[in-house]
Amino acid sequence: MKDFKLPENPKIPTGFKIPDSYFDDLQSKLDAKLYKKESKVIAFYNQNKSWIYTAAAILVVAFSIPLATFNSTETTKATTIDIENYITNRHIITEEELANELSQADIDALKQELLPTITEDDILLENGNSYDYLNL
Amino acid sequence: MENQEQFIEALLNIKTQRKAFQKLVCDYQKPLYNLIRNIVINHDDADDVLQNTFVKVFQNLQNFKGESKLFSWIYRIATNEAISHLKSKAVKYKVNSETLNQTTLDNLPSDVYFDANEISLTLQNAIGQLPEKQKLVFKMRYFDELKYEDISDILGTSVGALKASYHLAVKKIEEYISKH
Repeated sequence: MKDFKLPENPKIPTGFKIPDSYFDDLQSKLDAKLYKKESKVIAFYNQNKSWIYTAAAILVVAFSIPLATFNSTETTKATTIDIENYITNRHIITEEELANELSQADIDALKQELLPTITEDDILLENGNSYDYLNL
Repeated sequence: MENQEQFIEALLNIKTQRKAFQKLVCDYQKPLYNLIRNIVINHDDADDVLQNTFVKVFQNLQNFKGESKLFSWIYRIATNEAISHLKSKAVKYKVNSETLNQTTLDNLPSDVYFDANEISLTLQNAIGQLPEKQKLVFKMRYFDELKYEDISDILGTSVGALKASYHLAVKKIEEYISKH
């Protein structure tokens, strides 16, 4: 081909062909990309908001129970040990401390328990002849 | 497109957006496909790029300032997408742009979506020899029949520079076709 001039010749086609019904499907392909994806994301957040909060609450409670149990057990153990140590290391308990720990009912019960013994002992000590007292 | 401002308002209004965007796709799908296909050559690549272009247009509607024509803005996105696609493809196949271009042209005669007539194939090979800018300007002017002013808006190049590029491209193509 000699001295070819583009403007002087009929327009040369690109030669590109387009598949049949290509443009018929394009809109639906784009809709699937643009709207379906978008609405899914929005729907998940809005409609499942309560589920997210519920799941979060359950998780918080689930993690809290073992922690609470662990803490309370430790506290009980520590208290028992403290008491044992206190009792072990405390050699002398004063009468005053003991009295403070007793209620009136305890004192009355003690009196009832101790009174006959005291009486018998006193009689035996005061009266030299125990045989008289015993009517022997 | 008549009354561009109203159409842009419809595109930006959430209530009317979907319908307006469907109209935009309907109006632009064929010219955009041709523009993209002329750049990437292969149909499958053109399909990918066209869909990506519309997705980008949709996602960036809020950013459209109205400073340029909607047409120029969309064509600019499509052109950039097509060029980026070719660059990504070259990286993917670990070849340079020229090798990728030559491989695509070599495969053209066996492409089922190419009408393998001699003059079209010769023209595609002639275009393939041009520098990137001249290639782009020639395709936009010769195949897509865009005005220099519109090409200037799309590529951000002065009309004078575009005319010079096109003139040089035509000379080289004529020379190539004369030799083959």
